[in-house]
Amino acid sequence: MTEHPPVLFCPDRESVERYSRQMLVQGFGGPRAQQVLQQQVRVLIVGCGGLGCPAALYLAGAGVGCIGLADADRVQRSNLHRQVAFTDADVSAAKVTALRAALQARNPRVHITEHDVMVSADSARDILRPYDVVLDCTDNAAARYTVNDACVWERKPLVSAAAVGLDGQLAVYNHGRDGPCYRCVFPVCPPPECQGSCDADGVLGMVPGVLGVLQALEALKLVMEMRGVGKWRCSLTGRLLLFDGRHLEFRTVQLRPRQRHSCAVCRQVYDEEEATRALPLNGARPTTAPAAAELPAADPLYLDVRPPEQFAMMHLRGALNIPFDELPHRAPQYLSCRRHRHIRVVCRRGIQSQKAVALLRQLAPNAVHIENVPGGMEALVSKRGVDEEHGKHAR
Amino acid sequence: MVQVKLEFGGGLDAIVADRTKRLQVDAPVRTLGELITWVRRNCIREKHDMFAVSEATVRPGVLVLVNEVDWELEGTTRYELQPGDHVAFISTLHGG
Ligand SMILES: [Zn+2]
Repeated sequence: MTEHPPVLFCPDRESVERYSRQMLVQGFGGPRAQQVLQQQVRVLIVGCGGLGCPAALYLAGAGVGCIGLADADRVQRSNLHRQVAFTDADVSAAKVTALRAALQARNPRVHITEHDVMVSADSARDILRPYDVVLDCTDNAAARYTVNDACVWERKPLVSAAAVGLDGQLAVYNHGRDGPCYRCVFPVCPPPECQGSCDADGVLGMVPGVLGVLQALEALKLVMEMRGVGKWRCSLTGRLLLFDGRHLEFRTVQLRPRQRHSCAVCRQVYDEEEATRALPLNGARPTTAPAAAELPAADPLYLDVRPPEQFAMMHLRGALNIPFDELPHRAPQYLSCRRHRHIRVVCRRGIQSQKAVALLRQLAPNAVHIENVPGGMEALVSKRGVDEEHGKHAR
Repeated sequence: MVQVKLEFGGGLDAIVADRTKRLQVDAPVRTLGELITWVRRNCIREKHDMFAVSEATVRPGVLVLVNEVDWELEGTTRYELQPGDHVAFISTLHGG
């Protein structure tokens, strides 16, 4: 007898309790958007300092399903005034480990992946490939160029913030075809004596705090835009927000569009893309799977092919929803991901899922094991009866 | 002579005379490139290379804005200044 995960009636009680005030906001997209955030969204935070701590705390609070943390540093006592996720007891602990504990204490539903390494030109592309969006929360110019270049190569939007003293800056780079990358706007790295830093010039904790929270806000809108849920769209593309903490002024200025011909990295990436497009047929770019390769592998992936409205009412815990009609274009990225070697397909009564299994077997590499859940959700529910605990709505 | 409002941000105010963030000046210049040369000589009091290394252009990492728009969209150094223009020099920040 095959064991299946429990049926959740959505919005399940814990989601309602935990996220109701967020789901109520006009334009957020309600329980459906919340579910997408939890099940499909992956955000990478590079740098777990004064920007990364607040950004991570708020994204975990919002229920972003998978958060990657990259930093090779250890917590120092001089960090604590602004890196508010850390406590005095965390001094000398690895930042990624301490921050992970802080996030999971606040929201145990969030999956955290630690990248306890310096993000280098060699490692950056591999680290950020599984994610939807990258937050640049680093503290030096070299890392900012490294992260930017990897984002351009991997086609990931970059939500970039910086803070020194009482000043802060925020921008969304590499978003859409026309949105500039960091290097489009700042083609040349400034000389070392002109690179201010928090260690040398000081910083008031509230300043990266404000910027890190705004970074999380823009990242949230950005992933919701990418996943097609809710009504909000990223509003900072092509603009730079300047924050003056001394006079408490916010303003945004207009940046140049992407510099396709003069930016050293955009030029290479887009030249390569054009060359690839000119190839006959098989020249399609390999899909970048949104699933994190380094996540703990294993349980079968439940693929639910019912319409999203039915899925929203009730589904198996952890199931991924791709409506039947959307399988041909949305399924391949999951099928090509190393994490999903075993897929069980479920629908309402077990009929459409059989068609889906046949279709997926044509699309999938041989190594993927695909099977049907006979009788669908109706059979699963009638076998167990309605789980009272999950059937009740909290309000 | 053209009257323009100058602004120095992202820490550049520290090298301006009087450490001021905003200045109003009458500059004997026509273009933005000439203004940069003039500002380097007349408004910056120390560490001139933090503002501009050579004539007529700012050092890497300084974004120039004309009336809140990236100067790249306005012709950079060739932009012809209009009376009342607001020219901002913003150093990019790296800390976090
Ligand atoms: Zn670029």
